Amino acid sequence: MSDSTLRERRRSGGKRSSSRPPAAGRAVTAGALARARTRRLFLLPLTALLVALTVVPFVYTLVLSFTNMAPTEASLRFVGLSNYAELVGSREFWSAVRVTAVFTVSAVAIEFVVAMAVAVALTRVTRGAPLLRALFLLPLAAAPVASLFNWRLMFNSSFGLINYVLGVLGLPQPDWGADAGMPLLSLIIVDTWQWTPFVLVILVGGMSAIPADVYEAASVDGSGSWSTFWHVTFPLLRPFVLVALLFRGIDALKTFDSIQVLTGGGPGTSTTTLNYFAFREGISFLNFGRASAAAMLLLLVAILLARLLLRWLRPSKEEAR
Amino acid sequence: MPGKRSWVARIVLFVFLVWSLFPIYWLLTTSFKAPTEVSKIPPRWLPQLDLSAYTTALASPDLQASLLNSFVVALGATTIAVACGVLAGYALGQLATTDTARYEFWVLTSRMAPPIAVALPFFLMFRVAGLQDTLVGVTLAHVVLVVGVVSWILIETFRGLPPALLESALLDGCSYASAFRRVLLPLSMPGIVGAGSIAFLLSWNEFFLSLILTDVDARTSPLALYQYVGFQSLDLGQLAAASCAVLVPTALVVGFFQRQLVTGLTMGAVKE
Repeated sequence: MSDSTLRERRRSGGKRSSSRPPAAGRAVTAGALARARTRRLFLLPLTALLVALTVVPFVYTLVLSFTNMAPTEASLRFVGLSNYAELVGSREFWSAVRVTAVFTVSAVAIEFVVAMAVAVALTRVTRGAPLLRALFLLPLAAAPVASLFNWRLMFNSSFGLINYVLGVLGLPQPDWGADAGMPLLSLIIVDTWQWTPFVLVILVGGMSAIPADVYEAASVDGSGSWSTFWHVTFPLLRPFVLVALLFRGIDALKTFDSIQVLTGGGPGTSTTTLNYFAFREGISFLNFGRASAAAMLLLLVAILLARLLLRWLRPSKEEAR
Repeated sequence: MPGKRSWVARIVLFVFLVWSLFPIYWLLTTSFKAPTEVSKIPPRWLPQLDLSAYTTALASPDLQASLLNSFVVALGATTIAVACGVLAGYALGQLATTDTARYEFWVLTSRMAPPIAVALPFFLMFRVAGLQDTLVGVTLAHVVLVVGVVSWILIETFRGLPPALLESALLDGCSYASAFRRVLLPLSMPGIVGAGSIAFLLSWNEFFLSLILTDVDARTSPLALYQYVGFQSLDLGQLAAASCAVLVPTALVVGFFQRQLVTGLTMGAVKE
């Protein structure tokens, strides 16, 4: 169904169907009432669910973030913004912000470049592309703990496959769990393996939306393949690139499984992201106040990005207004 | 364009294919190795067919219980989310007369929000409510995880059905509720199946909330695997075999519902 008929329908519904024959006027008004009543009724279960399972917990987390709640505190009281102030003043917090930034930016950037290369390559082959696209999805769907455990074995310094291969090739064999920067690098490698397919899927979808005659026009104009990519493909792909980066960015901020299975946030705090920091503060150390403050900061980022994303996902809405 | 310089494209695709599939291949071969071959260096590259790891791992009562728990939780969370999502999909995708962007923003927020923001309150509330380490508790937590994706797909599904269907059902004397039951619900089946399979997959794979909200009784299979990892002495081949058992449903979902998986994960940013 096209968006224009959809908007047409909405508009006519909104105006209580003045375009219908006058004789049917009363029946239509009654119909509009029944429609509104049914709509509210049908929306009720999801609304109740979202209120009970997301709004209530978020508000609870917000309230907790203003309290001193922790087993070491004798009495529960409101402490205003002091959890936030403590966070911003602590070295751990800034270390977590730095690790989060390095991890997110490098993982998303690598995934984007690789996915773009593979997406372009997929347009150049004539046979087997659908099968390849299905196979490329597997790392995304594979149960994370199972595949992460496998990566952990492959990274093992004494009997892991990766260091064995590096040794055979005569390359240095780092201790992936301890050498400076290596634990974070291993997390980025694993993230690239797991999540590049996600970016790829969006880019491939975007490219298939570009009409073939655009390319024909470019090649008639004598444009080389590199310049066609830069001046034709990339600009048309821009909205898809933005959606891919936003989704991947916010999911990367929330990364938990790989950190828990591969590094446990260590050694020290070298792989503790903000999300992992909030987990450890709250669940391991039971500093609920502090953990909630960190979780609220993450939630705030997520809400802002969701706002931005909705504009790209549902552009027709903005036009219709 | 195809043909010209396509050997570069083939090399890129081949390298990416090996990179994507090798870890899965390695897990599979490890699970089929004889116990003495598992952590041998230099490694044995080609597969063996030794089933001893499977027979031992699958006989473990812990793994069996956790697989059953995962199944119950995934099915429960999927059913609740799909039931609410279908009704909301009809309301927003077919009956809405005004702009629904605000409601959809809310749905999207539940997809984007960090799980830690619900995990902390659940961790506290579940203890008070007696839901800690129960299947009901984990199921509720997993509903939070999947409901955004599921509702989004179903709103899209209902929006994609031509408005003429509803109009002609109403002209035939159906009420709004019976038009839903008799006409639109059957037609939205593909969307329901797709949304349901993604929800099942997400719940099946979920680790973070299960780690926080379960201990022993309601432990799901990713958690059971994770706790195996903690015991370094455990036989690695058995661990690989248990992992492969957990991977089976995911492979099935990718095989059957690839298109819906893509729509769900990208919240409809990509139309295939």
